[in-house]
Order: sequence, then structure tokens, then C-alpha cells
Amino acid sequence: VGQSILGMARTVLSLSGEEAPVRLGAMARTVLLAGLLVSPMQAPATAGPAELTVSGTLQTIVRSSKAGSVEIGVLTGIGHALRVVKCTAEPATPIMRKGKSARLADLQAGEILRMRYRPSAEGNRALEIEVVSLGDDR
Amino acid sequence: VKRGWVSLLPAVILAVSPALTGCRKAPRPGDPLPGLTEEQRNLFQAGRKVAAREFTPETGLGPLFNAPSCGECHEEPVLGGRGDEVETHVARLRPDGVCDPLADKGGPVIQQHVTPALHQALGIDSEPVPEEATGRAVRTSPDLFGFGLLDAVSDETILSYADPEDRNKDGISGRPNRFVDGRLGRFGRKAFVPTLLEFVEGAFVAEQGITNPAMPTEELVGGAPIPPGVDPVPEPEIDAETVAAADAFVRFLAPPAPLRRAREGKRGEALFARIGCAACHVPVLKTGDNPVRALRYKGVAAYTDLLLHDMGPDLADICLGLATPSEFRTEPLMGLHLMTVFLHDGRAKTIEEAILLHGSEGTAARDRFRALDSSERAALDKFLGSL
Repeated sequence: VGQSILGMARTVLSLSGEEAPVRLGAMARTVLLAGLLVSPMQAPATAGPAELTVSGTLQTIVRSSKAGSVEIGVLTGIGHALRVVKCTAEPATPIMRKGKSARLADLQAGEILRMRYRPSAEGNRALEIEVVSLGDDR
Repeated sequence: VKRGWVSLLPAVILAVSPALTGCRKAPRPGDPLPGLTEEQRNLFQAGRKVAAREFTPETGLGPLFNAPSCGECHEEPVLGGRGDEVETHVARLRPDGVCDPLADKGGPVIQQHVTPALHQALGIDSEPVPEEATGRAVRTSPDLFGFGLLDAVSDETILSYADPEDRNKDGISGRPNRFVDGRLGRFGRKAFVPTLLEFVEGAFVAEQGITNPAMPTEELVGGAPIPPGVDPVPEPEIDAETVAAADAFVRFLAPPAPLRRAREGKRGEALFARIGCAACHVPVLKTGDNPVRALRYKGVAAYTDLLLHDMGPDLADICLGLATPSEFRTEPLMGLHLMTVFLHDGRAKTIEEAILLHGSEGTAARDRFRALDSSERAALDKFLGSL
């Protein structure tokens, strides 16, 4: 699943404006994406460069988040090929909404998150979450 | 002798005028955009081969699929055009108003075919429709001509037409759809997909079961993983170069040239604006800056605003992203003269029937159309049939 996220996360890459038919490799773009999206977020003090290279950043919609649950289902994919990916978050996982700290239970289905994650043998772990505002055109 | 020369004059003028004025022949359906570089034309031709390529289970097809090639559904009148195939999409509108495309149950695209190996393993002939679905949609295959130009329209341009609160009180409140990551959508009947490349990458998987570097995992079979051994080709089943070529083919397809309009058609064009069709079917969108010169700062006579509009309960089917079941993207009208059925599901057999099926935000324009006399209706039909 972690590999899948890495592949899918590049959907966000068109933000970089690169539209030429000859494109960067998926992995190179994913790394670029991670750099682009992680930059506005504060990296945890313990996170070194080595750790960041095995992590990724994903911007996606919350599909499910039950009160009291530590599991978040998010929707990702390309075009009409969509997938559900599950991530676990811990009570200590930093969650920010509009610059203020929020709780996991506050996350609502339908909200867009920017989430830094790390794949592990137990599944994907959310390291840092930011709720993204879409502006007033929704 | 003098009279003979005079009678030949129109023919001589016709023969030399393109050379004198520098006019180019209008592109035919399936032609590449004018002004491409040699490298871009070569990529377009390579992509044409990819689009025509018939995949088999041994080359990655399936195990769930709608068609073995792009050309199967985009074939009329040439490769890249419309198709007569229809497919099924599903979604669940949850009680809390959030749209669930049922991705964990195999949605939103339900594949109509399976490979022999999957049939043998599960005894199915098509993907089952999830019972959780609250909506089921029929989708025709549109032509792809001019899609590269639609891709090159800036988000700002599209958003400039949005009026979600109907502040100008014209009864029309176009609003943008958003992909799962929040980006502005524009492709697909619900304007869900943000870019043409993603549309192509996603279609390889959802329509042909061909995994690629952007989507290296197969569709679920009604929510269950694919049984071991039925999909022996390692993922991804095509490489980035193949995807790039297919993308170039679609991106560089020229928009269909409209047919020549006589006086009646020009009258219809004026009526189109007068009765309010142009409020959603915006005649021309301007592309923004683009690495491809042939796509940069061009006008595209697409007759769409690429926004969602409520079309009323009679046309409603599925939600997708922010789109409610009754909201659809304004269908581009470019290439209408090449179409044989109309609306997202092909239910309208004539242009007039399609207009009369407009509801909700389209009601006022539809009613003004109804009030036209027969000659005015004929003029409007002539104009639309020329697009």
C-alpha cells in the first residue's frame, strides 16, 4: 500500500505546472512533490533527511474518520481510477486546522488533508496532518 | 476571348487565394494541431499507435476492462472520435452529503468485461455493481478532439465564470468541481479530473485494466482483491513513455473545424446568445501560458465553461467529488456535427431533444427555446449542427 501511495501521490504534481508531453519519471516527481508539499509544514525535530526520503506527502480527502478511531481512510488515485488508502494516526500526531491545533476526532469526512506519512510493515502512519482550505468557491 | 477570361476569374481566385492569404486548410477530424514541432508531431504519431493498440491478457489487459484499446471506444469517424459504447459508473451519496465513489467496492467505473482467467476464477462476466450504490450512471464515449486546448485553459479562467451563489441573479450558478486532493477538475461529465494526463493515465487502468507508473495497482473486483494467478503481467503493465505518447496523441488532436455557416446558421448563432445558451456554453475559452506553443494563448471554440450546473432531477444520476447527482459539467459543443446521440448518456437522439431535456439552471434558456417559432428553431439547429 505504501508503494501505491508513492505512485498515486504524483497526482498532485501538476501543481508544479509541468505539462510537456515528455515528463519526469514518477519517482523523481514524487520526490519533487514531497519537497514541494512538505516545505510549508514544520518537520518534527526528530525527522532527519534519511527519514524524509522514505516518507511521502499526500493531499487528499477524508473518506472516513470515526470518533475515537485512530484510523483515517483517505481517497486517492488518478482520473477515474480511485483507491482507498488507510492510515493510522496516534494521539500525538500533530493536526493543524487554520493555524490551530485540532484533534483526530475533529476530522470530518469530505475535508481535504495534507498529510505527511511513513509506510511501515504495519501500514501507513500519519506523521503530520494539516486540514486544507479550498477557498470560497466550494 | 475577353469573356472567356472573365468567366475563369472566380476559379483562378479560388485556386490562388490560400497561397495569397496564407490560409491553412482546416484540420480534419483526427489531424494534429497546426503549429506543432516535428518532435511533437512524431510523439503524436507514436501515440496514435498506442491508442490503436489492442491489448490482450498477455500484454496486460484486464482482468477487469471495458475495452481492449482506446480506439475501441474512440473510433468514429476516426481514431480519437466518439464511440457507440456506453459504460456504467456508480457512487453513493451518503446521508451526511459526502459523495463516496465506492472506490473500495470497485467504483466509480464498473467494468463490463473480464479476462478468461478471471472468469474461470470467479465465474463472473463483468464487475458486479456494488449494492451500496445510491446512483448508477450511463456514460457515452465522447470524442477527444481539442482536449489539449481545454487542458491548457487556466484554472483562473474557469473560476472567473463561476457564480456559485448566483450573485448576478440570472438563475445560473456554475461552480467548480474538485478532485480528491482539492484541485480544480475539468475533464469527465462531472468535471472531476483536473488534467488531461491524469484522465489518460486513469483511463488506462479503469477502462483497459492497464496499470502504469501513475497507477500501479489493478482495480478491485467488486471490492475484493484480484485472485492470485489471473493477472500474471508484472505492474506497471506499460511504461511512462507509452503513457506519454498516448497523452500526446490526445493532447495534440486538433479541435474539429466547424462547418461553413450560411445566413440561417449565422441567425442561429445570434439566437444561441439571445436565449441564454451562451451563459453556460461559453463560446470561446482562452488558453493560458503553456510549454507547447500550439496550445499557448489560443482561443478554443469549445462552447463550455467547464463548470458544474444543476440540470434538474430528470437527468440526475450519480454524485462525484462535489458534484451532486443532478450537476453536470457544461458539455463542450465543439464537434457537435460529428455526434449522433446527445447528452452524457446518449438518451437524446436529436439536438432539439437534448435542449428540451435541460432542467433547473437550464430551464430559462430551454423555455425561451420553446417559445421560438419554427424558423428560429431551425436556424438554431442549423447553427448547433455546424459546430
